[in-house]
Amino acid sequence: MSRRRVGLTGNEAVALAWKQIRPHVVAAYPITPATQIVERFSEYVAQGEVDTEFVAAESEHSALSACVGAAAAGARVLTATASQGLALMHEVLYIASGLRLPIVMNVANRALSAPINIHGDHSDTMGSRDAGWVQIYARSVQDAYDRTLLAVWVAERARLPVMVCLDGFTLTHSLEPLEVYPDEAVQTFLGEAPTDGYTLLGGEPITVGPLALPDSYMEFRRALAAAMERVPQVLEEGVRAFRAHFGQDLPSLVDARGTEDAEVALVVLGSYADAVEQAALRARVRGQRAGFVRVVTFRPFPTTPLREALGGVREVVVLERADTLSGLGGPLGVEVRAALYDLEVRPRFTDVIFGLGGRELRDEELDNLLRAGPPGGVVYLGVEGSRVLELA
Amino acid sequence: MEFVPLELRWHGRGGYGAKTAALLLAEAVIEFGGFAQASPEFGPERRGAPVQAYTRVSPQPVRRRGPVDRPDVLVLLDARLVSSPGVLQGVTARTRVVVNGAGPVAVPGVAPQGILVLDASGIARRTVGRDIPNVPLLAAVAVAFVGLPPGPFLRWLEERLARELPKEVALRNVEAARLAVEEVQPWLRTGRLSTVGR
Repeated sequence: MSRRRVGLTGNEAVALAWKQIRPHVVAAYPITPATQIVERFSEYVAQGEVDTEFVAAESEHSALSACVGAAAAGARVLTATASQGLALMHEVLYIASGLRLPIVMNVANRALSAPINIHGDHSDTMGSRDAGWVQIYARSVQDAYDRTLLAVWVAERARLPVMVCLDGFTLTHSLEPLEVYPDEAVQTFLGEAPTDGYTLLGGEPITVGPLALPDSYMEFRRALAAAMERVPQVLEEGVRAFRAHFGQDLPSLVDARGTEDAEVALVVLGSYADAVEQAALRARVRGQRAGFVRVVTFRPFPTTPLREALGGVREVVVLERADTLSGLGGPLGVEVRAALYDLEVRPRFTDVIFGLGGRELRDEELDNLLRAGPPGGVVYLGVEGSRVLELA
Repeated sequence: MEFVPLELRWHGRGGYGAKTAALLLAEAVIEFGGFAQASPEFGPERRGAPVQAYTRVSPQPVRRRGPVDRPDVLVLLDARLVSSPGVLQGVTARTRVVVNGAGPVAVPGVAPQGILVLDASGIARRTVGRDIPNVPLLAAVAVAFVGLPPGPFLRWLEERLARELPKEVALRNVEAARLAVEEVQPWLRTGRLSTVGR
């Protein structure tokens, strides 16, 4: 298979993946930093390079609603958003998953208002973590492209909507090398969407989304949980098919390096995986046995592989770009701790919240954290205490 | 071809094309088989406001993201930016500076032989007809510091610009790039920056 090597930004790479997926319908509303995904894709449509019904919606709520309708009709459907746009979609997110519609959405992770901020963090998608969507976080531009293709395969087989998250600006606006697969290979990989026949255009007249009262609602919700429980298996099959078609290996749930003998392990989501992995490697050079775990799939939560990776580690440090504002730290930290609770020997735990609203994570900060030893508890990295006191 | 790891920081003002140059340089390096990453400083986009962008070049995949704090090469799209706050941050005696200027430019902390002054605005006015100094500076940096072969680089640039610009405008930009490459030839021969552009 001949690959083409180009330099593209994350947004351009996602738009290219969309063109190769050839979705029946895209309904979207632009928002920074996801705008160029939709902008570039609409150019492909305008130039006749892809035969997609493109719906320029009047809001994100309408955009996702149009996606729901189209997916219920049996269409292959894509959309993209970020931040406030995802927040405005919130109501419809639950409808998409409850109706088991295989919509794929790219989210360009961005902070939430107020104060208003256009830069990257994970507050937006963490606010949707219990909406019944599979959530996958990209590490690089290549990873965002690969996982957008993979997400369509997984969504259609798990019959669940999937979010592919890429860090705002850090990935969306950064240009990196991209190996592009041939259009035909993408089409062969995806094939025709498998269908259970229950679509609005499937022949037999059906009703989608009727009332479910106490006699049946709970079964629907348990079935949704069961569908989510099957996702690791579907993802495993998905990455196998991906490898077979494109010759590219993708970790499906977590990517753990050097945790076997680690005294301290760093856990991270998204594009800062590079910085954190490098910090672990520098610690090794200094004689500190550090390991690195990237959580690839956050929903469903990768409990089993995390326990395997972190089981023998004395110190676990979660580094994350969101807060629960609950006093318990960030959402990743809360869930990593929950996943490790049943271990016979539990590690000491530090939750480091960094990079909110796009604040940079400096190598020195990571090195100092490891050199001094993780302090335990919840830490807000690089925050000026005196300024916080003024604002509190 | 062989690439040497290099971190570049571009300073300009909105409308000078710093971001475009930073991204085009990375695209070119990738096209010629190297690894690169480029990103704009993530601020509001307004004409005239100070703008920064970054390019990282490497023979291996780039495993760093975010701003370039200690640039190997600093590119100033306007000589007056030398005195702007933050522009010289992380600049050491080893940093090489490429600056758009019509006469000698002093950069505190950097010896004159580490400074390449190129009249990129003059070149742009003569060729493109507008004061957009990014393409001449891009060409100078690509040839003099990244080591891209001038001929193939100019051919790539023409093909690349023609994808987004009218043919005529693309060709004028390529002419601007060609003139810039000519200007840096003396340095490529003698290894001395100070002979260039004065």
